[in-house]
Amino acid sequence: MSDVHTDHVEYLLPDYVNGKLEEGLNEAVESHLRSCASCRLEEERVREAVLFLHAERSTVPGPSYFATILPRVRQRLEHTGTRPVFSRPPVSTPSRLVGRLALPLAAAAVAIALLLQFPIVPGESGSHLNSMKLAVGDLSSDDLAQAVLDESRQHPFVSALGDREVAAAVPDRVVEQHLFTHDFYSQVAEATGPLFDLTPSQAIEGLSDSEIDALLQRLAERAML
Amino acid sequence: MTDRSDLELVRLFQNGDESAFNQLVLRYQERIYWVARRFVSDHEAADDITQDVFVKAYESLRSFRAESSLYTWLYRIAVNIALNALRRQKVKEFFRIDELFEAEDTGTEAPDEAVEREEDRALIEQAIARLPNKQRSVFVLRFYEEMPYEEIAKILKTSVGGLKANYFHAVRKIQEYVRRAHGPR
Repeated sequence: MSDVHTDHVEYLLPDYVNGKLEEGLNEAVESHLRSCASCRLEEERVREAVLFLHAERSTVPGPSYFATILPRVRQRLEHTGTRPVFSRPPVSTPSRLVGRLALPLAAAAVAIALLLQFPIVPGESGSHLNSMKLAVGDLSSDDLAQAVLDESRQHPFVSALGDREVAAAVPDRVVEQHLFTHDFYSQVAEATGPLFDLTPSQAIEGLSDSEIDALLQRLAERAML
Repeated sequence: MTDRSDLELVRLFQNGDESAFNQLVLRYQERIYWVARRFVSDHEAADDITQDVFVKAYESLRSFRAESSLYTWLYRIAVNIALNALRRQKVKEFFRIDELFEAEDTGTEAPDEAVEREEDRALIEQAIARLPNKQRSVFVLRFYEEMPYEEIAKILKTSVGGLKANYFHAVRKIQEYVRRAHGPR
């Protein structure tokens, strides 16, 4: 009989409940469960989940659906003129679109960084805005895109806006719009975790022109601090 | 043609036999569809992913060198395309963030059996959607596809160690999510 360590038993429970454990481990797990109340409780919870999962029946596509896959794949291959060649021309990066997205994203990130260093002081907002414009204007599109990525790694959107100094520098009209409440931070953190792992081209891949336009508009609104 | 192994079909295709590719699609289309479906939950998105997988396979099969099985290779493509689809969905959802504040309709009528099943199905989809990418991938491939951990490790290009922990944590998170949704009983 295999020796099963207490801290590893729980990792075996889903397979144990599903009857998928390797030979010899079943008895070891059962023996352990007889003597360990906390593992028995875990086993109960896992069994509850597994039973629920097995009872679920996803909406099954109609019987003729699978017969349509091959013809449609073929249609797409013909439409795109795809050929199974060893080396293909490089997929052209939509540089125009990346440039359109990188600039607002980078502007927002640079604006956040500058706010951290140069808090808005009443009566000086004009010169502050000019400083930001100068800073952004000096960078190329590639630099701006890189600035977005660098800035997001060092100063994540949520934590930067959670900083008291920055929060104090945010104009009242933004606060009034409740854009920077704690709940908003949580939602943004949850939603943008993957976003900041993306390069700009990945972020916009697959979006239509109208979706990109809507996205740029939202970014422009947020960049207007 | 239908009795040929995957490797034989790949070799035939690499030598110019287009019908060999068709056989591979017919052989794997259901499995790829259901993997995609478990990641993205709705039929239309899963359908798009399925087609994308076979288009990608067609483009890349000429350079396939059998370092892994074709089955593993296709699944890896499917998982990557599904995760990319989920990332794009996150980008779209982020910039429609106002909708996140809309109150959910909790309903007041007692559901009949069919509606209750539909709600349970939606609960599971939501629970799986909330899993971190790696846990979701391991869960889908182990629970629904019943793959050995060694195959999952090859598909996800990770080591076997830790996959059981990923699987356990995924199942527990699903259980916790469903239990909270159902409330005290």
